[in-house]
Amino acid sequence: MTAIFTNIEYTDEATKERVVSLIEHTVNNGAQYVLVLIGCQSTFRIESIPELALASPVPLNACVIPGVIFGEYYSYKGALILGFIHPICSLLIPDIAADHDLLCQQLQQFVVTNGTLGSAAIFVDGLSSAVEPFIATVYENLGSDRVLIGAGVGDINNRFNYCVANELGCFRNAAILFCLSNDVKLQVEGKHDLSHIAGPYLVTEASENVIHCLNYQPATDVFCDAISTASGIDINTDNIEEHIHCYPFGLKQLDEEYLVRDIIAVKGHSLVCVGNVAENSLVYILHATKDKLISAANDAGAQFAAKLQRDIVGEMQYVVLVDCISRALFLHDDYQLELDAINAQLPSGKKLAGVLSIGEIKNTSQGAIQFLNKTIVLGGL
Amino acid sequence: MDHSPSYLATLELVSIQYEITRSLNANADLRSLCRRYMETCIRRLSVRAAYLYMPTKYTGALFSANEITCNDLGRICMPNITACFPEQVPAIKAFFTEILSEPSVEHVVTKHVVYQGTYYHLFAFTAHTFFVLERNHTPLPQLVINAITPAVEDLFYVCRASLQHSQVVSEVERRKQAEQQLTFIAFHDQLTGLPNRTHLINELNQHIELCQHHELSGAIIYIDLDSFRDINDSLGHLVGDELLCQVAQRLQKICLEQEVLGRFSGNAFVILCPSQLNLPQYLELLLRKVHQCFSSNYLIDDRSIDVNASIGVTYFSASSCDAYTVYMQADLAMSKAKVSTGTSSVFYQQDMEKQTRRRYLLDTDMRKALTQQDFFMVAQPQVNQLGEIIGAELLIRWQHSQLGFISPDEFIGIAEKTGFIIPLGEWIFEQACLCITSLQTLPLKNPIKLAINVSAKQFYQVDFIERISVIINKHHIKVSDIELELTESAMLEDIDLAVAKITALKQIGFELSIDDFGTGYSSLSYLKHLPVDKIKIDRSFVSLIDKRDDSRAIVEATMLIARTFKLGLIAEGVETQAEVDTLIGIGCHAFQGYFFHKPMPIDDFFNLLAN
Repeated sequence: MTAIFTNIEYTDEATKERVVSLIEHTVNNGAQYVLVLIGCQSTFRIESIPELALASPVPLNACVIPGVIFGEYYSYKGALILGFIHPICSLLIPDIAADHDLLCQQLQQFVVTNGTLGSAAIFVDGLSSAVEPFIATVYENLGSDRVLIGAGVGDINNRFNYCVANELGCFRNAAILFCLSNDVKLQVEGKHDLSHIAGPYLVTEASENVIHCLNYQPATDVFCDAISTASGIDINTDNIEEHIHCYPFGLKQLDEEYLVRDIIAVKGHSLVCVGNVAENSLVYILHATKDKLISAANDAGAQFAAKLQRDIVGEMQYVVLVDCISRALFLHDDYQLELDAINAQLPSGKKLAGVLSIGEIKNTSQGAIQFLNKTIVLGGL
Repeated sequence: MDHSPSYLATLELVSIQYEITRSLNANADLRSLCRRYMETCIRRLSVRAAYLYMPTKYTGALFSANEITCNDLGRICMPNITACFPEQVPAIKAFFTEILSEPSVEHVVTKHVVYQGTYYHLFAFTAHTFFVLERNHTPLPQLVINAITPAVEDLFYVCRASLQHSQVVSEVERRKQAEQQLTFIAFHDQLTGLPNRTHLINELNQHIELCQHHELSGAIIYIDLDSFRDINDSLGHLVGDELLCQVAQRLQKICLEQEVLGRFSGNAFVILCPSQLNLPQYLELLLRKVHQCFSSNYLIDDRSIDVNASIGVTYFSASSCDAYTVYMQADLAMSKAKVSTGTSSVFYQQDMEKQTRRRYLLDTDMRKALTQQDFFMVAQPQVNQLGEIIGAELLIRWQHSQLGFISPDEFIGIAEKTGFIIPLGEWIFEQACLCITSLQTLPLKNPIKLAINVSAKQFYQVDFIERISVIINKHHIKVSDIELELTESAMLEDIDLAVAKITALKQIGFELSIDDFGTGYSSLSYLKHLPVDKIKIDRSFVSLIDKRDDSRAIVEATMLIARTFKLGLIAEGVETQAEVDTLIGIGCHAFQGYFFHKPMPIDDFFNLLAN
């Protein structure tokens, strides 16, 4: 990654003074483009960005994300400042729920400027209900020949806070698309390794990210019965919320891992997921345990390391990690073990730089772009 | 629950089939529908891309030029920038050609093609529609192909229905547009695009109704271009039309959004001002702006055209009867403005309507009066300086059965406007002939010549000479006994034609005189070409001959002209001895006026002659 970064700066306590100082340092380091990733619990407010961006001699964009990762560290209050060696062509889409034709028009600007080959990164409001149709529109316009890595951004504590900013202002329900390279393809690996404990269930009633009925029964009833049977613990509507983060849904896919849909809330008899679940889709109930997650992290790191092309390994200094916030929340302090497991598999001298995200974005083995949950995505260029 | 592999596989296939089928939204347009369907296929079947091909002959303008492939097939694909063109893969091309050459069948034909490591699953259907799924690494299992075939068939049906629906919608849209166009034409002027008379009437009726509900009032400004016919006649209708458009544009610029500017008739525009605060003050301002629209010349084809307008204004309120009445009032005010001097906008007043009603009544009654013998002739003798009668001017009078005596100034004007002057003129001519016939029975020392007035309209009739010749012949009188009086302005209307007609009348034997001489801004240049016999000095100069030097100078100049061209001269409207003396002093020896004789009934005139 040294091919594209001048430097990446990390702070575990992002105050305004600290962020401003790191931006200045990055610009002085020769960065032609600066990206600021702000942990959602930091005291630094994204509302300061437009003013800083206007004053900056180089383009500056920023996102709020649940947490930042750098090497073996991670922080919910910190920030990452990424400096790019070359000018980056980025596209800010202020409203991802806009009319399809308008979105196509905006994305076509990106295609006209950058073509359809190479690599790109995307940050999109992960709490927006329009995220999946938007991802589909991105694929419609960018195609499968540009490898993509991305993260769902936003403040998990307040979905109405701004999550994207640049010199034009602050936005929610927005996205930023970065062209990383027009000729070199990213090496990407994604993994969760979760297996099912119950199912399959036919989703017989759903709207966007809310499952109302499974097998024509209220979704909570089916969910409680299945988990009670599998775990031996009596789970009912009173204590269901204590268990939902351990039992995400998995959507059956042909030739791919389950597409995970974390459950984030219970509304009456319905279950609210991160990401859409289509009616008539086939879902399983997966089970996340500490050991499984850490083991999957280890595997993801190993598979990524094996996948890296020899000719780029030497130049690469940073490995990008997009890791689901739900994994960190589930593992609590043991999340450090997951980071350690990944770091242990990386080729020597390679440093992790990444985010804890609200949904992860990457291409499937066929090329389509998917919005994932509870998944580790590693990228290297 | 059965968790055997076959059960799970079946359930999975059913789920795939259902989800793909359910992604078809019958309400969506074809593109959105295909997009959604293909997105579902890509997600659910783990394929790289999906393509739909349809013959362009069935799809109208659905596809853009770069979406049309070989065999006149249009292509919709997801993603839509893929650099891959399955239709160019030889095996797929051959499959397309084979299907296209066959008569369409109502079932799905499938085929599986591998090309350079990519797997293509082809589905063909009736009406030669194709659906292609593209996959890397491994093909779709046959069980999945079998499961989704009915869902693809559904896609074909829905596409066909959607196309038919689009065609119906576009047909309905076309009809709607045509209806809107017709409605527009019905309510708008095609030349200027402004609301037309019908629209203006409807609009005003609605405003009057509003006034009735809210006790409001508004105003109508009626703008009539002056001498527009002259512009059309002299510069052509294209220039006239362009002028109307430019006037419309200028007027449109001064109108507020809530005001309605329309073309009421040929050269008449109307501004409908809805109710607003301080309407009189606002109208004053608006009228000033309207006048400004005519303060600078219009430029058409490098020609600068000066146009003026006469403007009539009227208010409307809850008490207004209807739009027709209000427009009539504005029109009346405009007509008043047209004949007024020094002002070009006139506000409607109630007596204008009375005048119009009277004009209309007289016009109607005039026709009855002619058959009922309500018209009669009087004679005003003409004398020499000794007071001897040398002739008389026959004048028409009308004793209306209800309205009493109607002034000739009033009814002759109306008759000239309506064209009734033609039959009336012929009747006067008949009466003159009868008088001459009667005169011939009297023992007179000197011959008496009777003069009658001929209107311009009558004079310029194509067959005027033939018509009066018929009357003369009928009464067996000498043409020379009649003198025809033509006003100066009548002769000036078409000087060449006037010379030709007067020459022809002279050849028959008529004598002709110029009536009201001096009022038409005559010049010597034309007078020398007119073969007239006599000049009648207008009463306006005679009455002021002793009071104003300029009037005396005009009379003296007229005298000089008459002498130069050897024309007879008579002064009309002589009322005092002093006027007679002055006229004699100047050299005028023939007179007509109250000082000598008032107009009198024909019998009295005969008695006067007899005595």
